[in-house]
Amino acid sequence: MRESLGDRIFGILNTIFMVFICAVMLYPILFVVGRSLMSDMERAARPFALVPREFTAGAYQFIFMKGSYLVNAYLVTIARTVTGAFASLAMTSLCAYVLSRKEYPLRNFFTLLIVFTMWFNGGLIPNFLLIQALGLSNNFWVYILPNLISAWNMIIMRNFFSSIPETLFESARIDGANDLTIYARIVMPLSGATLATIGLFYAVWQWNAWFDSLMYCSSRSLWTMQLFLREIIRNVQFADLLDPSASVSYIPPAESVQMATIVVATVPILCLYPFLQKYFVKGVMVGSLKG
Amino acid sequence: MKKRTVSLLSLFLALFLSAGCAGQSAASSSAASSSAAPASSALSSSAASSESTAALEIPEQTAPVKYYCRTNAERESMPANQQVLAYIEEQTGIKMEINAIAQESFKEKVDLMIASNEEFDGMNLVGYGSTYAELAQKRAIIPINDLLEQYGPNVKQVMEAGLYTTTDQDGNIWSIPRAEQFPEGYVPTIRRDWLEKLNMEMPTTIEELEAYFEAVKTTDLNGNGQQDEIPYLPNMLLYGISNFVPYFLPVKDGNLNSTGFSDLSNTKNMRYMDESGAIRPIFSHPDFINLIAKFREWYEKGYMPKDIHLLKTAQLTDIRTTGAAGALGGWYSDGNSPIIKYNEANPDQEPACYEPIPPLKNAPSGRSMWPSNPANAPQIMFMSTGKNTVHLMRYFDWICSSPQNTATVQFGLEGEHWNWVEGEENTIEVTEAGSQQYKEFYALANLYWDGLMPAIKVSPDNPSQYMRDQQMQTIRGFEMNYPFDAHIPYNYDGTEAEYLTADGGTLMEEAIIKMVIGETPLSEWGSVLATYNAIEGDILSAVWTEQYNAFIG
Repeated sequence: MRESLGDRIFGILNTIFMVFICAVMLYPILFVVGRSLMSDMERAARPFALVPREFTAGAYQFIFMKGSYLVNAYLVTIARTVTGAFASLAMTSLCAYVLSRKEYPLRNFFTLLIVFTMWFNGGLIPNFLLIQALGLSNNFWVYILPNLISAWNMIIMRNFFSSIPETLFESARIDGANDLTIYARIVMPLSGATLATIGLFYAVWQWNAWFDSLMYCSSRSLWTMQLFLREIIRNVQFADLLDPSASVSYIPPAESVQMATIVVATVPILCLYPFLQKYFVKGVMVGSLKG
Repeated sequence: MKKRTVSLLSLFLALFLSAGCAGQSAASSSAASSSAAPASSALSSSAASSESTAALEIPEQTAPVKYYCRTNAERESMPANQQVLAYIEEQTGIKMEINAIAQESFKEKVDLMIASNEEFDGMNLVGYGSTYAELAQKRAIIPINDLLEQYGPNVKQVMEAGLYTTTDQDGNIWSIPRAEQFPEGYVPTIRRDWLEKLNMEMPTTIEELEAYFEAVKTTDLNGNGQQDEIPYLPNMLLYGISNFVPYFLPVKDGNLNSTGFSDLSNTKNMRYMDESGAIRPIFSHPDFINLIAKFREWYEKGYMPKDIHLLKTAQLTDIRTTGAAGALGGWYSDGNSPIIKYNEANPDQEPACYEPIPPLKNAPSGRSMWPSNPANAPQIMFMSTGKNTVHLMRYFDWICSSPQNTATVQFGLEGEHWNWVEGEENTIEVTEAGSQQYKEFYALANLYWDGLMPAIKVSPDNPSQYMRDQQMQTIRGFEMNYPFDAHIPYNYDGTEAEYLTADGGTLMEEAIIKMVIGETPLSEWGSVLATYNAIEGDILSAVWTEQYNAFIG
């Protein structure tokens, strides 16, 4: 069917509008990357420039000068992201499967109990005391165990599992499958999009988390990269003010270091997103009703 | 059936909730009893050290001495930290575990540890944001009189002059004090090379300073054909204002406590004594409006950038890197690093440098002074849950036993990170590698006590160090206003001021900035001040005056 003039005009204006939106979203990223590679003089002289005339990696050198501390922080973050995401997915899907089964008598009770935790929690001090009592202070598993199941993600998954046709389960039972077999052989294969989406949610959360590292881990060998980089930025901002007596031979450029830490912290996740993009788009509606 | 199920479920839920709450109340009451303090006195003289006061016997160290401090300028992640620690442990026979907590959450984390009765031996009060009185009231720290007597003779000898800052009115010593290398740093600075270009002398009065500002504004000093010179660029507007507080505010007997402030989120550190002997916030001073009026005048005349109130530290640093600022306000060395970079980028031009401005004469306050931090202040706390506080004191005693040991914890290993300078007494030279390998992480405190900390030989080849040293030598001849009540451990717990929020500071910060930039007329100062006094000023004044008089006696 031929497009009318109105449709074509709308298409053009729509495209212009979308390009504008893309530019607005892309500009800050290019700004951050560009300024992380600029020298101090150029940055001061060209406050709004995106592309450096003269590339300099001084800020990255400063960050990676930390050597083993930064590498260790990166390893901790990667370990918690991978371990946390997989462990959380496994536990969340198991919990969601059980609570999606209508024949489970305490289904409503446990659902209410879990939802209750979304409205109320004990607060920082009780949480700290609990972590201490469990022996998780200064322990890598403090990043995994307390955050194993997110109530919100669990409910999303539960809703999805509830939408799987009951006939599939019935036919599996007739064939002699028990619940674990149904979970592993029927539910999991059908839930690819959901698992990818929820897994991505967990992975991004684990990647960005820093507060638990701050509160529960005194040992720097357990600090995550986000916390470590956050401290670099803060220390650099006040290097002069806090250090009037030291014979410091190199004061790093504060803003460059800030920009460089943003790049170092976000690039890995940005690289991961394109591979999970399709699942993410499919999975956005995963908790909704299906026809 | 459904009703019965719902009723059963509700009953279970109620049972779970009561069990949880009962457990929580038990924990709360035990925490409350452990933090309850006698109502009559914030500091109990009966809180005794758990250590034996009998013969000098050294108990066995049961675990590494656990000490907490905030992160600070990368000290905690320097490459040679482990190497230096190994050497110190070998020399002292004391195992140490120093933990650096991220700065912004230091108080939160420490409060959590105290609330959960976590066992640790010491902490650095800097960054905690409170006085030792608050910790003493919570029974989180112990007095160290006995520890000093038995295990810290060198500490006592070295720090005798500063112990008064950590001693309460009952004679309990609550902390090892610190001695900063250079507390007198809130001094504005001026471009020496521009003064010479303008054929002007160093300003000694505010009129001469203003004449310099005007000359900078109207002369193309950087030779780029543009009128882009900035006469006065404080590091944040309020920091610039803070430099001039002693200059403008006359106070009784010089009793003024006003160091540098870049924001007013904590207005509890700025006060003065009025003629009646009451301690009041500095905003309440009748002459404070004159200080604002002066900055308003400078702003109107274009001596400061029009967006000075919006610029962040990083942006200010960038502007300074262009060499555009004629004078700086805030901390004396704020402009050093940017101007060094400017000099490196412009090797053909005469090197630029910022020189400290001497206190301006004919001060309306009658006191020609710049503000200063206190020379000594409480720093190292010994925790009541600590099992190895004896060894923490022994560690400090080892540090104070010789300049050699002090230099080790401050600068690293002799021969590798620093060397004694031949022919100069108690002077060392830090190697280039040394300054990048280790930075005072195991010093635990500021140790610039007379006769203890070696002097550092300054090399002109290190422009940052050399510039700083020249500035410090100049400032040492200035008259400075030291806080008059820095040794009073004001404690707001249990007082009307305990639940004050940051509203008062926000109100004043907004009002001052708006008046300087002309958004609000100066005539409204009276009503703003009345509101501030009602919500915060009068409350703080009452608490300060009472506690000051109680301490002084």
